[in-house]
Amino acid sequence: MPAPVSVLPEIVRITFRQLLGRRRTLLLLLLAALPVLLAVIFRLAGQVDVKEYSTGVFDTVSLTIVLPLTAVLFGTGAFGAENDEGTILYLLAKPIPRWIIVASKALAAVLLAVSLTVASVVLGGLVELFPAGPDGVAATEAQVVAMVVGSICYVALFVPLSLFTRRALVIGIGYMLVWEGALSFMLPGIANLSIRQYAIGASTAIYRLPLEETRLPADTAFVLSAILVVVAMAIATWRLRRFELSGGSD
Amino acid sequence: MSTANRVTASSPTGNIYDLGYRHYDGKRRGRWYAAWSLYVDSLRGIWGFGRPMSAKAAPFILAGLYAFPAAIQLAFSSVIAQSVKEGNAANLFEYGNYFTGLGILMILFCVAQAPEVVCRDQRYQVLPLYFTRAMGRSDYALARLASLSTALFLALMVPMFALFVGDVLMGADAFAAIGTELPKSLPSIPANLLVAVSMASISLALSSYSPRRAYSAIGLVAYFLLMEAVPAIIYGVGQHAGWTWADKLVLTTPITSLQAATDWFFGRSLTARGFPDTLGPDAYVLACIASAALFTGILLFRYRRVAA
Repeated sequence: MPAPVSVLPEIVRITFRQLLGRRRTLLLLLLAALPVLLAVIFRLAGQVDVKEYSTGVFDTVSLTIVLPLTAVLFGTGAFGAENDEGTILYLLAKPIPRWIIVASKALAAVLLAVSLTVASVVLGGLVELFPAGPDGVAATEAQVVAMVVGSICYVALFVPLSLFTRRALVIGIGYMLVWEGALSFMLPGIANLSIRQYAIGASTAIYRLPLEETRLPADTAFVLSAILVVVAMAIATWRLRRFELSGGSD
Repeated sequence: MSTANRVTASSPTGNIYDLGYRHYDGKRRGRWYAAWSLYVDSLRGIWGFGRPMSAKAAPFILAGLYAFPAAIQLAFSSVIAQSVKEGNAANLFEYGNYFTGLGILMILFCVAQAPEVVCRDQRYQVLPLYFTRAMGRSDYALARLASLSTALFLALMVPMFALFVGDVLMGADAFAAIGTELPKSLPSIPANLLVAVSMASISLALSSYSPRRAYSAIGLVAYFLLMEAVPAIIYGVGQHAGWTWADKLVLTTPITSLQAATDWFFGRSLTARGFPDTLGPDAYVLACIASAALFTGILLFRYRRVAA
């Protein structure tokens, strides 16, 4: 029998196939291309402005719409597809430790979400921010950090969610709109519990993006994200150990 | 053998594959009655009547939250009337600014309920059962659209009614107050009708493209968020660059243009709230009507093509 960790890349590969071979991946590509398109429009208007671009495009489009939507689709899809089609049975029947299954599923979703969101901000930054000089380069790097941290945290949150309910996608959207969208603006105290703020906070390690609100220092953001990831993975593993196969429809 | 013979002999409607079941020989009510039945049934379904409690939660919570501020204003109308007399009542909800303030809840209502209306029929492949009967494809689509529009209109009008009652009670003489209040409140009927039809057509047209409710919902969220953000961004950039055409883009926003159209019905001015001053409120009304027509067209087109 092979060492358990050696199956990890295999599960990652299978999960890639499950997540990518759909029409919705095409729509996600279009979504990720949108900030790049907006950057081109900024350049066409002759405007190279780190502040305008950071608040106008990075904050309102990349951080608020592209990042959570990408993460919720990949995060809930990692187990969702197996669960819907019943193939999760074949995965759970193998002598693989449950934490490895959780880790590889989450890893696959994180890799896809990170590559999509990072590609989106890097291309946008190349078009709009790099001509602004060293400030622009630093801003692009900060945006990359925000996207990486944000993708990891969102996916870590949505993977266990999809193991608890079949309506994870809808609940995830509700969370994204209500908690991250409306409430974190109205109640500043939520900053410690908002992935959006973790992502912004982590980005200040590189460069302080000129955004409306930056509520967490970088080290707090990193510590809180790490706690979130560990706790979420532990819950997902615990849940998968007690997983009951459901034969019903959605 | 003999049984089959007897049934075919007594039933002139028998065809090649007559299994011998009893035939329906009541009145046939036809296409319009079928469409009406579908309308009533989906209207009940949107509010969760005839379904379990869990199906009632989303529509009633969202519509309740939408009506909540008006209900509060009604409950405290005596206190408010006192402070109006003293001249320090600020930021009260009126008929004209209610949707502008709380429209986000109606977006959530559409995101939650529009997929309920159209997705399941495609997912469980029951559309042929509709289309082989008297009702045609466009009748089906229009009946569904009418039901979501009606549901939205009801949700939009409840707080209007609460405001009306509150304002009447605040007046010194209730009957005189009705006389002065009625003309002020009447524009809310056409305004909310436009809001309801416009939002319903957008959300049904988009929802009908996926048989899965979750993907429909995510598509609707993406559409509403992006179509609010992107035109505003391009307009903002265009102002620096002197692009005079960029103000037209604001007309494509789904919610902002509805808010502006509401202002037209109530004769309020737009310029105070960051709208492009090059466009009058009437342009937004026309844009909303055009968008409702366009998305109804998309919905009909979808049901012309959808595999049944």
